[in-house]
Amino acid sequence: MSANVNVNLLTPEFILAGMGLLVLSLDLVLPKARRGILPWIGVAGLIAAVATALIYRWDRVEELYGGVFIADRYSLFFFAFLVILGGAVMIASVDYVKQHIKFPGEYYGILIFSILGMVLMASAGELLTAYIAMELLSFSLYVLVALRKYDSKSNESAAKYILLGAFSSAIMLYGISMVWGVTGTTFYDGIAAHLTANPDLDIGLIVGLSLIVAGLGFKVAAVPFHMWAPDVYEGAPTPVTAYLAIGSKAAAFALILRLFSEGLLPAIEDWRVLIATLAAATMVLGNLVAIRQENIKRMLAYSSIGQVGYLLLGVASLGVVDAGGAVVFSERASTGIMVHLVGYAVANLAAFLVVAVVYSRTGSDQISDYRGLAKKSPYLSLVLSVALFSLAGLPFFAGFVTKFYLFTAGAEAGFLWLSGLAMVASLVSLYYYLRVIQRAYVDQPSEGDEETAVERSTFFVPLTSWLMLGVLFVGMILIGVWPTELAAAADSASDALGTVRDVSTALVR
Amino acid sequence: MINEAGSWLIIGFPLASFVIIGAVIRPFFNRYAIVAGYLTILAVAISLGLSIFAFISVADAGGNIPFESREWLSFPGLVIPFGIMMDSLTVLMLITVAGVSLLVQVYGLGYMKGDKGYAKYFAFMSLFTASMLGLVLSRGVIQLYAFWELVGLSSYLLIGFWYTRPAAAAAAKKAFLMTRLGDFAFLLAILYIFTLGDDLLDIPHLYEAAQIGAIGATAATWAALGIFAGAVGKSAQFPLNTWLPDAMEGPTPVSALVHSATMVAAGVFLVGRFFPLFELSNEAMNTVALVGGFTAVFAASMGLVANDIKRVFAFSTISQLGYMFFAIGIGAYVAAFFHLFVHAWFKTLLFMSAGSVNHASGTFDMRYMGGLRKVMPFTYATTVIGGLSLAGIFPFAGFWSKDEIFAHAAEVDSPVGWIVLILGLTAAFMTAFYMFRVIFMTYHGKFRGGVDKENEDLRAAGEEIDEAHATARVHLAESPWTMVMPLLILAVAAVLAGYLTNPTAGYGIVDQHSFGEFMTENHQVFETHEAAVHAGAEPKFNYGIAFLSTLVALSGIALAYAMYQAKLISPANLTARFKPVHRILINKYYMDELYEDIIVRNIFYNRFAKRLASFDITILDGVNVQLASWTRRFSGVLGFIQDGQLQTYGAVASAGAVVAIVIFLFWA
Amino acid sequence: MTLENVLLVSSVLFAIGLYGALAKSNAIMILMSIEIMFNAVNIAAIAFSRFTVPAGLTDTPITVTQQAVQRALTGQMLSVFVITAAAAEVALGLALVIVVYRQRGTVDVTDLTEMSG
Repeated sequence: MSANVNVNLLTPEFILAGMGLLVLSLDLVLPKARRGILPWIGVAGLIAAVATALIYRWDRVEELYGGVFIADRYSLFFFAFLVILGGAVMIASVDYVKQHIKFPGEYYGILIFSILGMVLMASAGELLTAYIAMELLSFSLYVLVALRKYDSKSNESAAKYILLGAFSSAIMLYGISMVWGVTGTTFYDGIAAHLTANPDLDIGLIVGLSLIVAGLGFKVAAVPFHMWAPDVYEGAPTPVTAYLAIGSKAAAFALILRLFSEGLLPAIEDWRVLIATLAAATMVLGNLVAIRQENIKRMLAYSSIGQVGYLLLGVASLGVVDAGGAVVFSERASTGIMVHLVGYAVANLAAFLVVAVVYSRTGSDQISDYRGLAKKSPYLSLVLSVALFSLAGLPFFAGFVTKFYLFTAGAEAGFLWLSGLAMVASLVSLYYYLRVIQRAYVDQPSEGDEETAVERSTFFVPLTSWLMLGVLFVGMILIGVWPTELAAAADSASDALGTVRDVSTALVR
Repeated sequence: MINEAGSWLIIGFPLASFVIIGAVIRPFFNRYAIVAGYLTILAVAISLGLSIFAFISVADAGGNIPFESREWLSFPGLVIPFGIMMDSLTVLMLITVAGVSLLVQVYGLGYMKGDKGYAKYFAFMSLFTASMLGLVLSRGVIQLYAFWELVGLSSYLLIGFWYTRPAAAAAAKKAFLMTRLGDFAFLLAILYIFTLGDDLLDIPHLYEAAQIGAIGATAATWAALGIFAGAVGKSAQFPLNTWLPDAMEGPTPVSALVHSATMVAAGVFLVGRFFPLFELSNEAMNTVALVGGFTAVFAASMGLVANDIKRVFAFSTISQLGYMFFAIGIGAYVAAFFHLFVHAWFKTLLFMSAGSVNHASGTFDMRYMGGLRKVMPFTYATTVIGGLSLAGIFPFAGFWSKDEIFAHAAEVDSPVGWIVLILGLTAAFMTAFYMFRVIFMTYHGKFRGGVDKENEDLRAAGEEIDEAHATARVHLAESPWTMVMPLLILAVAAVLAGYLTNPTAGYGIVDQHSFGEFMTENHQVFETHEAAVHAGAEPKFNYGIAFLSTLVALSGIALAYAMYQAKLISPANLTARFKPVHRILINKYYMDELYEDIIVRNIFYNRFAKRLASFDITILDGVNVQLASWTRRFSGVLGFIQDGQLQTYGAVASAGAVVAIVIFLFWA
Repeated sequence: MTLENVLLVSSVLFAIGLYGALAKSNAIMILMSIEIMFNAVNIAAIAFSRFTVPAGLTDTPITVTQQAVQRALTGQMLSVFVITAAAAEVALGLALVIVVYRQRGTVDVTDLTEMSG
């Protein structure tokens, strides 16, 4: 082995893995009544992991195992983001799990493992590692989706998810093997070197890359690989749906961003049209089909498909060809993607948390059952409205700033038409978000509904959810009004992507 | 001299009022909701005081006080600036907005009395005032856009204020979505401007770039047209005009403030704010002029036959905004803003009088009014003053501003000038006619029963009586003093605002052309004296035009008198003779139908959706905005493949992968 | 035996798996078809590993380092990973199929259409 195997570098990951095991095994030991403590142990572990990572890796740029694992600002940004996101989902699911899920230990333990998968996806510097990390995430998600074992929707969606997931993995793996066969390497920088040396793409490479795009497209639910998403989102337990829509998507974009900017950038002229096409199809279809949804989880599923379209617009704009014909990495696009991911995560989590709370009270996810929500719980409807406005991209909320930034990056890379399309899509999205808000505020609670009176008195929001919603609410406004710090963090992460690491172990790529 | 912090306070006071009412009074002290009204009035009054101070400061400073451009957010390669823009255009708008708002708030004290949402009403009004003031004070383009949207949002909340009425909820949504259609183009234009240069998001930089010729004519055309599209949506110009009449579902003070004097005029302000950019492109200027001129006539013609008094005024507003646009389009910058300023006062007056009339008769339908002159003399007198001003009769305010526009149009040396002049005179005739039709139908003749009679007729016709009608009462008396006092103040403004602000000859108190010179002092916008003169800094009084326009207006009034007062011509006969024309007008040129039935139902539904008959169409909400519902149907087609079958999903994904390979191969 | 021949076998196998995954309605059959697809990947990966020389070993003068040798073995590593991942995938998949069977008494995926649209 080479000299540089500083295993200590992996401490935060080890903490995550250890916490997962700890939570799983504590579940066996603890008496049933005391299992409420599990999520908090998990959260403590996540905090420890983030703290360790921030302290230990703040100024480090290192590679492990010859570039398999990369620790730099970019990985650190996503480590912090994804672990905090996972922690937020964990806290957000406390009330839901108490009521609807029989296996809290499994739920939290596997959640932590999936977080580990996510952070590894962001730091993988090589296709195989990325694939394995992605499978760690996916397998965890398969189980989490199926965790409401006796709910037929839950296990139907899990069956669809795993069958299609495995199917897409096979497609992606075939692509990886072809890319490896042609370029002789699975390392991102090696692929980049190959693409620079051979500007004319080999047909095998084209097929391989297309298949990888298809596989990743499946993970992020890009059209036309999106079709599993609405069904799975609808059937999964709501916090898991939130996690699927936010976490797995953010992690997949962490992987995509590194792969496309460090590995495939030299050939951007070749693939940008493909990605732009996918982006256009995704944002149009996701937002259009969302209109006719009557189930709010499905609606949010389609709307999050639409959001993927915007993010893909950023991916297509990752490089700008300068006057001399050389490809220049566009930090603006990558920063835009990261910032938008954060803004989207906060708003979407808030929306899903409201959905989860409402489900716990009314037992329904139908949009029509949101009628009169403002009367029953002004707080929930306020947070929901702000979340939806933020997703639609209205000014002063997170979504506007992040979208604007992303779209300017697109416009600058020559995708003004796509940015325009994205804005039309946002306009459409406002329409269906307004339907929900209208239900909540304008429509009266249905008359003759005898439960209504009861509901009104018992429609309380559990403390954990209440606090979490408050934090998210503040987050949405804060990002909307003062995103500078966030942008600076994302920018330093982009810097890491833009620079070639000077690492002694990079022998042969 | 006002400083930057003071400028922020102009926004700050109404905003604080909004926060206090929303966060403290409404949740905890709703019993003392009246405090909310006083608080709002106080806050707006302070803003008005500061605005006047700002006006004096700007006048002293020569039309522009340069404040710092601050960084709102800085991304790598993208700094979004914000700050205070304090120039003549800003202070003009500040005084208009804060002044009208103050009067409307006082009026609202009486008008909204007893409404359940009293505190909420004032909270929204404060929010609206704050965001409107923020809009005119914006220095950064993005900041401007943000306030622009906030204004739209508060307009949405205010139109839908009585949200339990389906018509109000539908109107609110329609307004929000239709204006956003224009906003989309505006945002696209912002993106485009940004691609022209990183620092152009700061408006003074944009002015500079326009002056030194850093922006090409084609680029300017596209950017200006996008901005203009935003203005068209907000100002309800053709073809996005259909939302404004519906917006009258909101409370009348809201119509007076938001939908006549301030928010809808924001479109004109927007074009004025980007005037140096528009001036670079003849195409853009001509588009603005022609759209404005056409809308002036188009909207006025619909006002000829409407029976709802507020809707007549809504059409009138669209038409008057059309005047402002065509004025600015032919380069008559000063005249356009002069008209905006004057129009704000007398149109607010007219809306308030409509509210006052409603207070007495319980209805807005003029067919059930009449004879109110005797019971409400103050309202009557002020309405006549407002009406004469709107019709453009010497020496009322509207005469001066309208005349300046016409005089400028007559001087323009191109076919566009003549076209808009003819359109403008046509619209002036219609304006005088519908205005006096309103006065004769409402105040003269015999009282025709008010809301009681209307409800009777509705019942007889077997129609449902909505909440608004059911709760209304006939109450024949003059309105309370909180409502009458603003009317009187506005009446004074409607008389004096014309020649006192922009006299064509010096009168001692105010210098000759004081308004024109004040508006064109800012050298960032008007680099040279010639440019200022070209924009109408020193308007000449054109006797020929003045005579012509007065003649046109008088003949309009005479026709209205002959039809509705002297009964020389029977409106019923006229209607019968011009039945097709009347039907088109009363149906608002079938634009709602065009948008809803033809575009939505026939083209999208019948052509696309029916071919894929095997899916069931989701039942549409009764209150949906139909324009948007085509997308709903289209989305149904797309949802059709989402059949729940695993294999379909896999097959589509595989086909997608193949297509991906093909696209990739094709481009590589 | 040449690289092309083996790759041909691999792609035929992949196509068979693909067909099975899309055409079969029995969930277990679908899982098995996907397994065939994974195996096609393995064959391709090993074939590349056997027949191509990794970039690192074509430099002149050839510097055979440990790392370069590792790179040469990427294909084998890939297939080992894939075998493991596929096994886990199938284990999870079968467990889920059993849950579905208990609930509905069928493993026919065409019946899994409670959610659509």
